[in-house]
Amino acid sequence: MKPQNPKPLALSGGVIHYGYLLALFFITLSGFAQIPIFKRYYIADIPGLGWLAQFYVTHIIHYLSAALLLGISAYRISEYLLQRRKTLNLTPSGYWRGGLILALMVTGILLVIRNFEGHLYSDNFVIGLVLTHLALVIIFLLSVLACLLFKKKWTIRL
Amino acid sequence: MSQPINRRSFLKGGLAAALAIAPIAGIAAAVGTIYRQAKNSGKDKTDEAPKS
Repeated sequence: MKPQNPKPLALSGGVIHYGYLLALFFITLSGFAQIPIFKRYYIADIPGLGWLAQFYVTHIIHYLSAALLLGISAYRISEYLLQRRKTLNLTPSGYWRGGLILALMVTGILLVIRNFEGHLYSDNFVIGLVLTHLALVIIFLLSVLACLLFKKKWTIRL
Repeated sequence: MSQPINRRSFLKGGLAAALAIAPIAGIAAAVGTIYRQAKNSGKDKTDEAPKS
């Protein structure tokens, strides 16, 4: 007998979807603010956007958005493994984006450790981490754009 | 004498703690929601009117 498709969880529709979009927007914005490009290219001089040039403000926003994104990812993965594994499958583009997010999380966590005193990273490793994190973000954003343009979904119903 | 708490390192620790707790909160939310959904769907079946 074909397994019945369970109803999506109560949180899945609204809170999780919009939370993901919100976290993605603020994590990208605050990440680029820490390069820092908004002060250099006078974007922070636009009234109301001065906070984009304040390193610690964008740093805190980046951490909080990362926490939100980690929570949402954990929720989605748990929901999939516990309830929807038999009825949903990840598409190749879903695997690709998921893999990129995972790689971003791993490099991000390593960078969080770097921000603590007493880490044992070499300078070259830190430079490599930062550049990898940045390259992954650019690849991820281009992938998201391509998936939006070509209407590629994360999952497919079995 | 005890040293005063450094505000910045306190904040750094708090943010790192938020990052550590977030995935646990996500898993707990999913498990809780699935449990509640399963409980409610069971209730719906028992509440069904008997067929005459």
